[in-house]
Amino acid sequence: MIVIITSLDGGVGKTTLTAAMAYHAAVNKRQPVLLIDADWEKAELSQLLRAEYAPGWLSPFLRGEEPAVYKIRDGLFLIPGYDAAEAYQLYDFSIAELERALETWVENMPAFAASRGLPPAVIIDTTPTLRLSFLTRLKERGVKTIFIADVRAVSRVSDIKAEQYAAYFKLADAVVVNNTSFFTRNTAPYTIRRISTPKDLHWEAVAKNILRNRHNKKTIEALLDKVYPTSLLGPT
Amino acid sequence: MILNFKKGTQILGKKIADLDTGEPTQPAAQPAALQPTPALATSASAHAFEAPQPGASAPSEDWGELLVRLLASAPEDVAQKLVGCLDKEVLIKVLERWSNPYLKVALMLITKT
Repeated sequence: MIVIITSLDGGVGKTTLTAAMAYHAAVNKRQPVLLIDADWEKAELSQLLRAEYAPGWLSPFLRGEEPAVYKIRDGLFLIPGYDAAEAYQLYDFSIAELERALETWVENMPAFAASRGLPPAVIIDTTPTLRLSFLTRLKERGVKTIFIADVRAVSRVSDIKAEQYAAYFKLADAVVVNNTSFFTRNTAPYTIRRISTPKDLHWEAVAKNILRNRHNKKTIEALLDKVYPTSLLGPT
Repeated sequence: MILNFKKGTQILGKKIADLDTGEPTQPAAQPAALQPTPALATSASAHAFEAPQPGASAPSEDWGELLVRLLASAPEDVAQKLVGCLDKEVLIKVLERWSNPYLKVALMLITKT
């Protein structure tokens, strides 16, 4: 089962949410997870998880290389995104090509994971503003979409923005609003409350800090229950 | 640069056994620490030449890796002497096995002179 974390705006917490979900699944629930850093703009998840530079998810298409799979800790694996971020800066790829590569991953993921002994539960962190047409194709392939936004999603900056959000909301299996204000708590289905930033920006410290908040832990648990069937990520 | 979807799909669909028993997907073998297949690599700091990563299943017997680690950790004057004793081609071959853009540029500079 593949879950994609996406957003309309940048910096809303896709990578942080990915880390928190992965930590809760792998550490607290002891359910293994494979992460793919498909943020081809920044590869921030790979950095947050302190993965070394190595061939990532785009490498099979770029250089015909087997991608690296990092064991971050027991039950948690990562396919990094450094080479995709590098290629995005260096070469004239069309977005359609990168989308096609990611779609090929989705198509081949069950066979890839099974043949390499990797978990079937996959979370893909992405770049902001993935095209709706692409997300629709992924949805048709059975990918679950978690859309994350901050208060801009409910503050109606403009009619155009509101329409854009509405289109993404419609596609999403779950909508998360980050840094919730009092106003958003009752309007968004899943909310993450602001937490203090840990001094050590290590993923485990960040994830633990989020999950220490009872409301946030409840949100993360509900999200995992929503996107993964109980057979994959059931309560332990 | 064009993405090769045929090759990419082949690799993703390839069984790990195929990868182990030949059919190399890349021309030069890299040290396992930088060429991890499932669950081979552990997350670690970004510095590739620091002490061997605990838990990484990179074969510690790999002479090329050991040589590089030795040269990187030895006092500079000793390292210089050792490098002076070694065949340049051997060192270049060892360095060529690492997939790192900085090393690639460094190799270009070394081989140019």
